Amino acid sequence: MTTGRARLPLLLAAALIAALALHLTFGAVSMPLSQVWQGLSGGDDLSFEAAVVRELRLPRAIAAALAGAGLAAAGVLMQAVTRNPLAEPGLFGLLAGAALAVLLGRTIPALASPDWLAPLAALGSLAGAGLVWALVRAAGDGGGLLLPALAGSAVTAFLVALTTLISLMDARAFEDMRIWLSGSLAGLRLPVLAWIAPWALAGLALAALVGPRLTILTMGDEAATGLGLNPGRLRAMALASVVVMTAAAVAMAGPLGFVGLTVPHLLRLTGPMDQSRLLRLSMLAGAAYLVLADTLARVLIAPVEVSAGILTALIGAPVLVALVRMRA
Amino acid sequence: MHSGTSAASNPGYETGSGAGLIAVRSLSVLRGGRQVLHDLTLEIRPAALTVLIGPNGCGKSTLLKTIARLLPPSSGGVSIGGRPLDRLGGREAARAMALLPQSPVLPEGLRVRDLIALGRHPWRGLLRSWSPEDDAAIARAMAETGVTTLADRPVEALSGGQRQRCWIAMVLAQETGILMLDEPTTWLDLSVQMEIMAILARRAKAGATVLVVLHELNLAAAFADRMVMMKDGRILADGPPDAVMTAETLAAIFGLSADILQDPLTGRPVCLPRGTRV
Repeated sequence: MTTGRARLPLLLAAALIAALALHLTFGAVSMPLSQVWQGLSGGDDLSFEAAVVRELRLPRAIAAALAGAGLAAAGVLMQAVTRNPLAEPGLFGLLAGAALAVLLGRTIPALASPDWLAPLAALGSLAGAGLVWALVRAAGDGGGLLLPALAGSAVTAFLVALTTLISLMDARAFEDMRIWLSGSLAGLRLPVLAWIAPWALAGLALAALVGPRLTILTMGDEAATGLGLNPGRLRAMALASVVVMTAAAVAMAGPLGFVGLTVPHLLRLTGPMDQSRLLRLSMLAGAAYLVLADTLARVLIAPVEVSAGILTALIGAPVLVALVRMRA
Repeated sequence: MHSGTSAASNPGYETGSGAGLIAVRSLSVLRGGRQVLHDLTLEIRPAALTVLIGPNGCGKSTLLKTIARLLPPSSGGVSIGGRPLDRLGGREAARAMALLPQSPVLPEGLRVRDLIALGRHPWRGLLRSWSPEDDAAIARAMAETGVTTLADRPVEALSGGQRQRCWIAMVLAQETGILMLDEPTTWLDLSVQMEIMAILARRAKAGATVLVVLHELNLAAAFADRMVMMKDGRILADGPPDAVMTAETLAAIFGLSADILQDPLTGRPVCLPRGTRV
């Protein structure tokens, strides 16, 4: 059992490396790993393959890894803070808010550059979360445990409707956004990644800072205070990290759902673990999961691309149903 | 046995200094606009098991929570070892006093040892790694509560009584001069209640300041060194059980008509309820 506990992080790290190798190898033009390596390492290799690897596939693979790690970690943090096993960025209006904000930004010429993608997404997810929180507060104590989830789905439905409305009003202007809105990494370029990667890394670092205290936070505010923590401040840090990671993920990959539910819940099946370990492993597993999903998205019905977001939903929904059945 | 020189290697409750003295001065507390504590002044001393007791809504839990920094005083204040609470940082306070709330939520996926190890949190920095002092404190806490053989079991799989002993081991592992527990025996079998009170009495005998909110009069009388009886946010009786467990105080505080006997073995008072006095 002890060796099994130690082996899981190594296994997940190996899975991530393998997924990255697959991601770089497969595509519209498949090439052997040796050629990929040459493209990555050879500084003055000007061949077509080298350019594909360096300028298209590598940024995209890194973006998928960062977005996957962030979304999975955001799911763990939200589940711990809300003590609701169904919590994830998608169910609390964060993804829908970010998508709407980015779309609205597109209509304002001054905000159309990629520099604004991440701040807009962050603002939008904050607004989405704020709307859910305001609804829960307005309902008072009468709503019970189900209330945050209900408020979250209501806000999400409303924001998605607004987003659809705006994109329908000027279909041509938002043509390129349609694919992005289904949760896709297609078209991700190095400049966008360079802007957003620091945000994603900052969010992950903040999550790692909260991680060791996350288990104590789930004991309730009284016990956490007794152990010397400031629960209010810790929750604020956790939620700030959730917003930053979600915003960065949306900016890179669009509103991609279910990762924050699927990855942590699958990891919980491997055995008992505390929140800190769950958070660390979710980052690794989430990165591997989305890199793999994006690889599948590109090769499944090539030359046509499926959105990774459609795949994560297609995988996530049945997994969730199976988990619910197992608990019942 | 504890020969190290750092603070962590010496259980706080064995220092014998004034660090474990709780001083409450003219304390008033408002909750939801209602005054629940009225100008309370009392000292709770080390090396004694002090029980706060009284009818529902008397303010006993509020007093405990205010001392534990969970509720702010509206006037007056509390000091720990001569230092006002509001000048203690969170970690500093958690090294001086441990709290077991009435119903903590059990985190998922913990083994017994993992849960107890969380009690060492105030002694660990972000960078300070696990130390032999931490291991020693956890081993002592497990031995005192009799859960050593359960160390690798998942806490979720344990019975209610075993679980409560694990929670108590967690606050014991914190190794503070002051231990506070809010109704630690509620809903448990009588034998478990006795075990838990015996563990707390042993810590008090070793020098700790132990402050417990209890519901059960006879359990309190059997183990307490001092009983503080409260009603409507005020202290109506305060002293050793044989001084305060009288028919008159029980009538005044609990509206209870009761006979008080003496336990032939321990000499402690036992209350036999006969009816209510409305």
